[in-house]
Formats: sequence, C-alpha cells, structure tokens
Amino acid sequence: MMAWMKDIAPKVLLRLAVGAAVFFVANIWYVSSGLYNKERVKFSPVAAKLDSAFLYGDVVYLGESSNTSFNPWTDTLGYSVSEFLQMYLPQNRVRGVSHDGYHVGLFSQMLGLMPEHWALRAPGFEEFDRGDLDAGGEKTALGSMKYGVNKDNWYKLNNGNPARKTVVITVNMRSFGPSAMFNGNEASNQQEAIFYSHRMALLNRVFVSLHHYDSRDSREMERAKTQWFRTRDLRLDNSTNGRHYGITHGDGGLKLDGEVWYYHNTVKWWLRDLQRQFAPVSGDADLARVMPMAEAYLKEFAFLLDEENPRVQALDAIVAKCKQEQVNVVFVLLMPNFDHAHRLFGEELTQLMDYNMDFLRKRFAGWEMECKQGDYKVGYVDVERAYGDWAGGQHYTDQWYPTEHVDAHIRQFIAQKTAEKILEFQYRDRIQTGVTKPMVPVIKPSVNNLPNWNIKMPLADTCLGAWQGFRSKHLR
Amino acid sequence: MLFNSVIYWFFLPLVWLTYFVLPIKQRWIWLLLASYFFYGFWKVEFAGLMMLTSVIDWWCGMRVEQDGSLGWKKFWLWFSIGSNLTMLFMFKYLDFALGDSAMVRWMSDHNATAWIVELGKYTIPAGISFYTFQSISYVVDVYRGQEKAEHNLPKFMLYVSFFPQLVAGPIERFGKLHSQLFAEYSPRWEDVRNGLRLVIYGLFLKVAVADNLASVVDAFFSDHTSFTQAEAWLATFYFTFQVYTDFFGYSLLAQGSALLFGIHLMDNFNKPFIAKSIPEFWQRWHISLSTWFRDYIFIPVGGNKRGPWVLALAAMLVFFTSGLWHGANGTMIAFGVAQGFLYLFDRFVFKKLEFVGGPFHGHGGRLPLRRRLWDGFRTVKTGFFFMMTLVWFRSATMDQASEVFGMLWMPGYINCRLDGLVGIAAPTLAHGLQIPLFLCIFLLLDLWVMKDRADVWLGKFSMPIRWSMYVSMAVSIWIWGGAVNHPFVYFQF
Repeated sequence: MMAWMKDIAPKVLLRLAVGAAVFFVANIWYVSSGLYNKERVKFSPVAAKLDSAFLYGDVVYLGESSNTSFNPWTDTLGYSVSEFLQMYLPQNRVRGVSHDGYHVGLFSQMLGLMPEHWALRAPGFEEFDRGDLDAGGEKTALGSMKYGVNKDNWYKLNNGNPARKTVVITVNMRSFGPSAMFNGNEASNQQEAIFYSHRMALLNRVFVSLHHYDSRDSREMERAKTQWFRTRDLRLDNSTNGRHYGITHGDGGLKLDGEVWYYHNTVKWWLRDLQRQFAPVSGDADLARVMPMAEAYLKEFAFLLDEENPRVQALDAIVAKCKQEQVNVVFVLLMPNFDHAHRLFGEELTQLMDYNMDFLRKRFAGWEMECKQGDYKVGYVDVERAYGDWAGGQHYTDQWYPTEHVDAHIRQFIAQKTAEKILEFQYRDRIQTGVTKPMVPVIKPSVNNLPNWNIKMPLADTCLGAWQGFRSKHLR
Repeated sequence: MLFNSVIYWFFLPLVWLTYFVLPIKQRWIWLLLASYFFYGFWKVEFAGLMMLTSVIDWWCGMRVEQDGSLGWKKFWLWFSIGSNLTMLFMFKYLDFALGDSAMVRWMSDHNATAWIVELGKYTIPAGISFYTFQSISYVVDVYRGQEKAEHNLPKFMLYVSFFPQLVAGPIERFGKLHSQLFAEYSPRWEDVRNGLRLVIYGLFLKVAVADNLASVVDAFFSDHTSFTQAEAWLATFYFTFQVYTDFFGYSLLAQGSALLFGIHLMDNFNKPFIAKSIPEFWQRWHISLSTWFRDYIFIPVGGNKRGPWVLALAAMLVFFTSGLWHGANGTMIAFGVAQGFLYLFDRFVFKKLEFVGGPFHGHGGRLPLRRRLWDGFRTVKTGFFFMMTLVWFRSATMDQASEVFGMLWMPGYINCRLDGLVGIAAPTLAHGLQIPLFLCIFLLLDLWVMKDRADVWLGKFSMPIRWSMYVSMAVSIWIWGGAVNHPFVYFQF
C-alpha cells in the first residue's frame, strides 16, 4: 500500500463513517419530528393521496386532468371518471388519484408506492393490521400475527379467491409527444416523483436539494422541443413520398400516394406552411382565433410513436411492475379530438394520430393476449373505438385547445367501459360471482358543450384547392 | 455535470482515487479524460467545441513562440483571439445580434442561410466564456514572452479543460495552473482536509443559502407585478446575496475539488461587501475575471497612466465588455455600463469627498469615530449601488428592469396592491424563517467573523466545535436545501 494511503485512508474512512452515522440519526429525527410528512405533503401532495389510495382502494384510478375536468356552465353532471367508476363498481372501493399534466411516465413511478403484496391484501387489511399492532403483535408484510394471515393461508381465509387489485392507468396519446414531454412543468413533476418511492426519507429530501431528477428548466425544454420539431421525420414507414410543399422548396405541390397523403417532413416545415397559408386570409377575424389553436394541434399531435419513446418505455415498466406484483391493470386509451384536428388539417394530421393510436392499441392488445391465461391481467379500454368512431368536437370541454377533457356523457361512457373490463377480470378471478348492479344517477348526461363552429379549415383538404390557386397566382 | 448534483459526488471520489493510484507520469492523462467526461456528460458535441478551441490556441501559441517576425507573431495572436471570439459570438451573441429583423426572416426561409439563424438559437455551451478567456490569456502571455508555449497538445487541452474550474472559473493563468497540473505530487492529508472543508462550506452556501434565496427571488421576478413595493425591495436584497453565495459557493467547491488533487486555485471572492468603493468592490468580486480584464484590456488600452480621459475610456470599455461577457442581453450591457459609471463616480467624484471622514489616525492607533462612520457609510453606499445594478442583471428584459425600478422607487407603489395576496417570502412559516436565518448566519460569518478563508478559519476551532459546525452545515444541506431548481447563476455565462 502506498504511504499516502496509509495516512489518508483511515482518516477518510473515519469521516465517512461519522458522516453516515450522522445521516442515519438525522433521518430518524427528520421522520420522528414529523418534518418529513410535512415536506412530503408540501413537495408531493399526490404521494400522500397515493398512500391512502393503495391502503383503502381495490381499484386505484391514476388519471390526469381529463379525469376531473368538466364544464361548470354546461355539464349536466360534474362527476369525475373515477367517481362514475365507483358508481359502476359499488362492491369495489375505487380511489382516484389525479393531477393536471400527469402522464404514464409519472404513473409508472407512482406504482413505486404500491405496498408489497398489495394484490393479495383484503379490503381493510391495513385496519386490522393496525389494530393488531396496538395489541402488541408484530407487523408482517402480509398479515397480522393475531389473525395468522400470511401468503399461504390467505387464500383459505378468502374462500380460495385472491383479493386481486386493479390499477387503472389513463393513457393520453398526446402526452407521448414532444410538447408534453418537453413541457416547462415537467421538472416540477419530476421533483414530485422523487417521493413516489419507499426510499429512506432523508435521501428523498437530499435528492430534492441536489435536484436529482430531470430538472431541465423551461428554456432547455423549449430547446429540446424545437430540436424535435426541426429534426423528427413525420413520414410514415419512412416513405420516400413524404414531401413538404413549401414555397421555398417549390416541389410542385401536393403528392398523392395511394390513399395516404404525405405533405410535410417535419413539424417545422408544417408550421411554416401554416403561417403562409394563413397569410392570404389574415384579415379574417375568425381565423385569427383559429391560428393559435391550429398551431397547438400541430405541436401536440404531429409526431410518430416508436419504441424509443420514453413514455412507451414507461408503459412497459408499468406492465412489468404489475406483473411482478400480480396486480391487474387496465389502460384507458383516451380519445383525442379527431374532429377538430380533421377540421383544421384534414387527413394529414389525423393519419398521424391514427398511427399513434394504433401503435398503442397494438401494444395493449399484445399484452392482453399474453396475459389471457396468467394470474394477473392486462386489459385496455379503447374509448374511441368503443364509442363507435370519432366523438364530435362538441363533446370536448376545451373548444380552442387540444385536450381530452370531455363532457359527462363521455366521462360516464369511459367509466362504464372501464368497469366492464374490471368486472371481466374479477369474474375470471372469481372475486365477483353475482350480477353487479351499477348505482349510477338516473340523470342521463347529454351532449352539452357548445360546439366551436368558428373553425375554418385553412389546411384541410377542402381548402387546398383555394390555396393552390392562390399559390399559383401570387407566389410563383 | 453540476457540483451540486448527486452524480458529481460519485464522480469526484472515483476520479480522485484513480488519479492517485495511477503512476505519477500518467495521472494527467486520467485527469484529461475525466475533465472531458465531466464536460461531455452534459452535451458531447460541446466537448468537441472545447477541443477545437484548444487545438487552435495550442497551434497559435506555438506559432507565436516560434515565428521570427513580429508581424507573424501578431497575426497568430489575432488569429487566436479572433477564433475564440468568433466561437463565443456564434454560440452566445449571434441570436442577440441578429434580433428579429426582416433579414433574419429572409435568412431562415432559405436553406443556404437558415443554419445561421438556427445556430443562434442553439444552446450556449456551458462555461464557453470562461474557457475561451482562459485560452486567450495563454496566447497573449506567450506573445508577451511571459510564458513558454506548451508543445504537447493533450497537456494544453488539460489546462483548458481541468474540470473543477472549467465551467465557471476561476479563470486561471497558464503559469500558475499548468505547473501544478504536472507537478509530482503525493496526496497530503492537509490538502484533502482543507479541500473537504471548502467543499462542505461551498455546498452549504449554494444549497442552503443561495437556493433558498432563489425561491423568493424567482417567485418575484417571474411575475413581479403581483407583488408589493416591500417585496420588491426584499427580492432585490435577496438576489444580491443569492448571486454572491451562489457564485462564491461554486468557487469554493471548485477550489475544494481542485485542492483534493493538490492544486491551489485562486480565490475568486474576498468579502466584497466590505468594500468602500466600486473600484475596491471589483478587486474583491469575481477576482479572476476582474484581473483578466485589468491585464488584457484595461492596462493595454492605457490604464491609469495616461490621464483621466484615457482611464475613463479604458474603464468604460472594461465594464461594457464585462456586461457583454455576462450575457447577450441589453440588461447585461446596462448592468456593465452602470458599473462603469459608478466606478468613474467613485474614482473622480466621491474620492474628492474624502475630507468628510476626517483624519485617519486617532488615539491609541484606532480609527477616529468620524472616520469609522464615514467608512461605514461608504461601505453601505457601495453595496447599495451594486444591489441596484443587479436589477438589470436579474431582469429578463429592459422593460422588466424599468418596471422593477419603478416598483422600488415610486412612492405611490406601496399602495398598489391591497388584495391581500400571500407574501412571497413566507409560503410556509418554516420556509419563511429558514431563509433569513441562513442569510443572517452567512452575513455574520462573511462580514465579521471569518477573517480567513473557510478552510483555514474552520481549522482554528477545537474538534467538537468544528464538527458541530460540519454537522450543522450537512444537516442544513440535507434537510433545508432549497428545492427550487436553480443551476449555478454563472453557468449561463
């Protein structure tokens, strides 16, 4: 051993040991003083809700803003999807945990708070566990000493049935795109996510102090998003027919390849053409309002999903976690506003949206098939297909921005389809044997948002003729 | 990679341990690799940019030394300076210089020129202002004959990229840093101990003090119109010490990290808030940059040897450049120019009021009360003026700066907000208390108690007191570290 090492190593090691000891003592104080709980609520209010949901819920509904959003002026009912779901599953305890701007990446991390062997815990399991602790028993992962519950005999206690739990994950296709992924609020979401874990309390706090999460600020996120818009290819199947028809590139106008139109290679060129197409009619007051909306639709939906997408990988992680914990999972594939997208951009945008929806559908269907015979189940509710076809734009609460916030009519529909899927699992698990009577309000929600008739179609197919005429006249 | 990131605390011990396990002759290679990893960890392409800078300046340094004629020496000197400034301009100032003119729109519509506009919007490589200045100083020193050129390219690359001082200084001179990087050195416990002391104090300043202050400052400057006049003053005051503790903390972390390898970096701060004038303030604040400007701009332009007009011109040039160096933004230029005027005001006007303070010598060797009061007034005045100029430094736009100045100074503004919004300083009681508490502890230490650098000062205490201070700092970092995501202020430069 080198001489310097003999001198320095013991001193460094001693200090490391003292540092570690101080850290552990500080951790004990941090938790026992109640400071950690306060900070946890402050930094991550959702984490506390999750604890409660996993403790008392049989079905945990993880949602984003579409779960709870409603139009206070026109909606006949203000119930959230998870509340409707509870009505459809009166014999299950449904717990909804929702937060604006959440996505599958965060849901995947939220499952980190799932208690060990949660799938097998009986409803109210924790209550008698706690009562047993008061009686002086030792807490175990699966049951109390007093009642002698453990993994082996739990099935006997439950008449041979597992107390299977279900996690419902809302999947918003839009949240897989660059605008959602490089959102300025993502750093704060990721900071909250630090607390979605059973790590040592003080370690969580240190991670917050040292920003041990994706802490890119809004400027960096904006740059990443712009980079995506500039470089990501929008051509389906890498077709050579993808050609933007911008004035700069003067490539002779639109190309038709069979049934599919390919116009723009990147969002950047598309946005530029949007500006140009808007120019001839810029005096139109309605279009002046539509333009920001059109731009938002482009930025939110013009992307192609692939295996590398981090949110797609988060879906894989969710399934892996649920498989490991033997928890059933139902994905609810929300329905984007195809109607408005089509009115704004025609097939060119909706075919991309369709491609992305199909990408997710195939994934979910694959898992559903794979788990058909297994102990745990994966299912999905395809709201768009289940509803028939695109829901009219009037179902959406936001008429000037692309969101998946829908009226009570669709919210109830989503809940109904989700309940059907959960019940299907529970019948297969023999948890439910009788007929379930939904306890849904008698009032039937109606289609109740005022449709946005101001949308004109500067880029939709019907306008292209006019645009080409203008182009040949003025821009040659 | 940031000093206040978890990954750095795995990176540093690993690099340190491996460095000293390797044979002495090969250690610098490991340090070079580690430095490029440190920089490339953030964005690999920027490591390439730094390498290009190094290669150009290494080549120019050799040509300056070897070419016989003065003309060629000058050519290579200006070639080096020009290439450095071009890179700086392309990545940092192009967007600002282009603005949003019709020409820019025309350029972005044409493929042949669109890339120029795109480049202007590209991320600024971290620390580009620091390492280009360091590299320029090398070529100038070689030209002046003060240093010999380094003929070994990788060794020169290490001088430019040495990771502790790479992204935010201190801007070290070739003579001082180069000799230490390649010296035969065996680790000494004193250096390790002092390095760790600097690191923990630096981390305390950054995480516990600066980041907590940032939570208030950021809240104010993100929506200043929602706040009262008193809160505007509070945010401005807090920002003064946020930027100080942030950059001072970073400098200490850099010094501490370097000291672990036996390398002594220069002190970048020396109690700037006890300065009695702006000229003195700049001798205590960001010393490595101030001395760089002094040696490479102020003195060559004429300094203070050629009359007051030349001095004024040189000073304004230095401060204008300093403002521009801080950022490609009108607010930064305004900050620099304001500092220039304050410098000249102190140098030419306020100096004539020295008689107000009376004599310097009193009974028993102590300063007379009148002198002490006058000095105290000058100190407060200097700090106050600096604080005012920081409004430009922090504001995103000139409009915001004007509005904040209005909030601070318009007498009626105090009554503008009566809707009872929650004050920015106290989102919760605990938060509200810890910010002023940490600031008071720091000010007490910095202005009165700490007479030496942190490592030396801490070493003067007995072990129990010293360790209780370490534990207090560690617990403050762990439990009360600021949660606002705020990278080091000077990283953007």
